[in-house]
Amino acid sequence: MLYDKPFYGNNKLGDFMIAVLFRTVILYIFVVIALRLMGKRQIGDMQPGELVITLLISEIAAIPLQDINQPIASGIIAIFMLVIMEILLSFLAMKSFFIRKALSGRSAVVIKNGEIDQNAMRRVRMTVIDLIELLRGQNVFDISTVAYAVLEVNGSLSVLLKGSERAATAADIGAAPQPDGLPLPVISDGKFVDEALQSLQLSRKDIEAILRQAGTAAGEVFMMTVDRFGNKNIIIKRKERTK
Amino acid sequence: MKRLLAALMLLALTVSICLIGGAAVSDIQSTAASKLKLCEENIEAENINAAADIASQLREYWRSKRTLLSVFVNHSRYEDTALALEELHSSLISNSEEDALSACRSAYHMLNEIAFEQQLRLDHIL
Repeated sequence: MLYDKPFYGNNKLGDFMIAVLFRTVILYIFVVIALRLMGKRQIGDMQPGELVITLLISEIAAIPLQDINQPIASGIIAIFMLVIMEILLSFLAMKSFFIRKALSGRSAVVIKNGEIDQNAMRRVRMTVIDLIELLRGQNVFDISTVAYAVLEVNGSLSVLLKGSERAATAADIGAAPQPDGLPLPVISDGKFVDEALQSLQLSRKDIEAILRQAGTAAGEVFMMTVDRFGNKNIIIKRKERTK
Repeated sequence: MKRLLAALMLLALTVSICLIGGAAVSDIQSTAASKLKLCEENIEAENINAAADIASQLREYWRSKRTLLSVFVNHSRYEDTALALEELHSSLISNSEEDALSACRSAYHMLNEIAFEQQLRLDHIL
């Protein structure tokens, strides 16, 4: 009698793998929500705490994926608690200098007036080779040309060159540069981008008129940008290469 | 600020789910444990038919709580308990009192394990 019917009814072949698929999709959705809540940042821009949380999230998400006996909720709750802690702590860090310093550390001035601050280098446990590499990354090859170099909390180096080494700006040479307007894409792959048109206070008809003058039409345009001063750039679609 | 509000709402939701889930599991565990105790008493009093009825109810009760328990309890722990209850039921049907008592104690032990895992204890946190 016990063997008359399977314990939990008849399982079709592959039910277990489909359960794994569903678990993966569910965890993926929750991980994306968690990362969106944390905000957009590239790995290089992350504060140390954020990087640790991101790595922990990926580790925690892997556990219920690998072990189907583990309730999926245990992973989701842990992921959300990490994100909640991260958001609350970053809010507190925003309000308190002390917490910010404790969580993220402080930036360190490693070069002053062309001279390496050896004490600061020891404090941040950085070698001269590391410093030179970071300077090269900023197109600086001679330390004596640096007025200040600051090692930021996220590990990047900000460099201010001495006045004599900086490229002359328009202000330095007394020129009146043309005002800059942010070019917005009004056509992308032959389609109008209405949001950009609205912020430029232009209509589709205005753009069509410009395109007529240029001897083309919206459908033939790969990308068109316009800024608030009317400067425009039109890139025509290229026909696909045929072999 | 919007993100902070979302985080606080999420915190409230997460804590609520943990508390409600914990309470639900505890309730199911204590109901199952009391039925199991009753079943054991009936076996010891040699009321096998009454014990078999209780075991059958208990087995169905445990099965009906599968989805909820799967959310909060380790799945293998749930399955082991379900198998022990199944064994208890089949032992009672085949009038094997010794096996039924053994299955009863095994199921009781597993239920206690579930209850223990749900407890908020310092050693669980550490």
